[in-house]
Amino acid sequence: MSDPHFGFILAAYLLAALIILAMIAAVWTDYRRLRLALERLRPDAGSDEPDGRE
Amino acid sequence: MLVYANPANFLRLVERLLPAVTLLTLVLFGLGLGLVFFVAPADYQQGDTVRIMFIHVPAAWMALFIYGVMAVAALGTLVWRHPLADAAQKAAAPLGAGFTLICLATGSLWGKPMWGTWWVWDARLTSVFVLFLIYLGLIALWQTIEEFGLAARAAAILTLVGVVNLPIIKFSVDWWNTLHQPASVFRLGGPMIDASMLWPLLVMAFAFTSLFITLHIMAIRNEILRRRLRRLSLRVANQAELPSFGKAAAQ
Amino acid sequence: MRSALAALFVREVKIAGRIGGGATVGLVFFLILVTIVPFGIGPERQLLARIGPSILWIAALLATLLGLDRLFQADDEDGSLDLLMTSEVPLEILVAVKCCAHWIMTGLPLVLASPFFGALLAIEPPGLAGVGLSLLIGTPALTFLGAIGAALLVSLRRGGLLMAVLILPFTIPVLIFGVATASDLSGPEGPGFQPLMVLAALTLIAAVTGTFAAAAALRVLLR
Repeated sequence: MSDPHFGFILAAYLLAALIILAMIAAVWTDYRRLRLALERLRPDAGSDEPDGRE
Repeated sequence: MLVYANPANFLRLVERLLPAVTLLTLVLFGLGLGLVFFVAPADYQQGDTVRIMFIHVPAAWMALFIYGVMAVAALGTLVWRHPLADAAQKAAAPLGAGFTLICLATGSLWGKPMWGTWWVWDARLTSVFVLFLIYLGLIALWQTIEEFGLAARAAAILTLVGVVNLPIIKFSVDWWNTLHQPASVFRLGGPMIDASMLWPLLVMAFAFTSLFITLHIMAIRNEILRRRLRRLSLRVANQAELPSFGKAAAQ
Repeated sequence: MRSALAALFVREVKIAGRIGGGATVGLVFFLILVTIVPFGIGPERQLLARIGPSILWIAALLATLLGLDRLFQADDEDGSLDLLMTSEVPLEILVAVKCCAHWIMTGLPLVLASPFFGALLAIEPPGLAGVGLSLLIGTPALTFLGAIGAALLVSLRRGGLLMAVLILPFTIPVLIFGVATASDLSGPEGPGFQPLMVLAALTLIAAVTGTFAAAAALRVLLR
């Protein structure tokens, strides 16, 4: 692509990718932290407990 | 719907759905990006820069769509008291802010080469910026009010008050003379855009939607686990052994 | 019902007028905001006159918002809010009365002071009239919108800044059309009155939305 505004196109796609990856990373690391914390408290708490009252 | 009010049922649903929607997201992005770079033609006026549109427009649609999802969840909290609605609201806010940020940033990067300016305070840009501020305010609200149910109800009311912004965003380009161009896809006369550009646009929009669904159910799962962790931590703290002063004193 | 509302109104006015009631502090805050602008921007009279209406509007906005957390909080703390909520009078009307009293004690002083403060910002008399009128029509909107924030955070101490964060996005249209009204009224070609119409509409919409949303928030959050 020899478009004169190539820098802008690249920056736009990179920025979007960055923000999307940041969202994925945030949700994923939050999940991992929660799983680890639950495992520590009770080894079987990470799996699906049939508790209806949350 | 009511059967998933039980968080354990919802977690089981997430376990089943997650691989499928993740795969769907990847496939759609692969297809979409392929269409964007190999099928969609360069615009006769804008050249290749028009390809920014394939990120900017779907991101804008997501910004509005996610707010709609949050508003429905807000109704779920206030009207039907659905327990999952609270988590759905809270999980949606950061995602909505993220897509709105993508929309604003890519719009700015598109605007500078094409329309000569990084930013202008016309009706469309201002109202989307206000949407971004509302998302941030909601995130701040969730962080500040400690009790989950209370935060959910407060956020629900604020979300519903803010719904008025959505039609303003949509119709701002019709009501005011803005730098931002008028609607070319969702209009009464049908899309004004050529098929070679419409299809990549729609596929990218589906890809973004699939990404949101994936992240949203993951985030809701996180909220459920967070509440479970809170309850368990409290229970463990309550059951902790107290120092046995009584025993020592009795000897 | 009328005597109950009148009693509530008088009570609100009296409390606001006392020391710590917020009426004088809001006015002083408004003055300080206006004063620091020339220090920040420089004393050039033409520049000040051009942005003067905007400065007055922003200062009025901030002074109103930061003074609004006392709208419900003091009553919540001493239990009178619970009494008000169990009254036969619809909560929406009580909220409206509280907002009116609040505006008269906080917003109206800003409006009346604005010509004097505007003179500090080198605004000419036609401009002063324009700003004053726009503030008169627009500041009630700020009070009603702010009531939503005050209700949402009623049980949260130290919630003042968060309240401003939540409500400021919704006050942006009021600010836009407030300043537009001020410049339209004092413009060289004579007033067109369109921004004023929109501003008045915004105030009416805010009055309805604010009272209903604030009442709903109080009900839902103080169950």
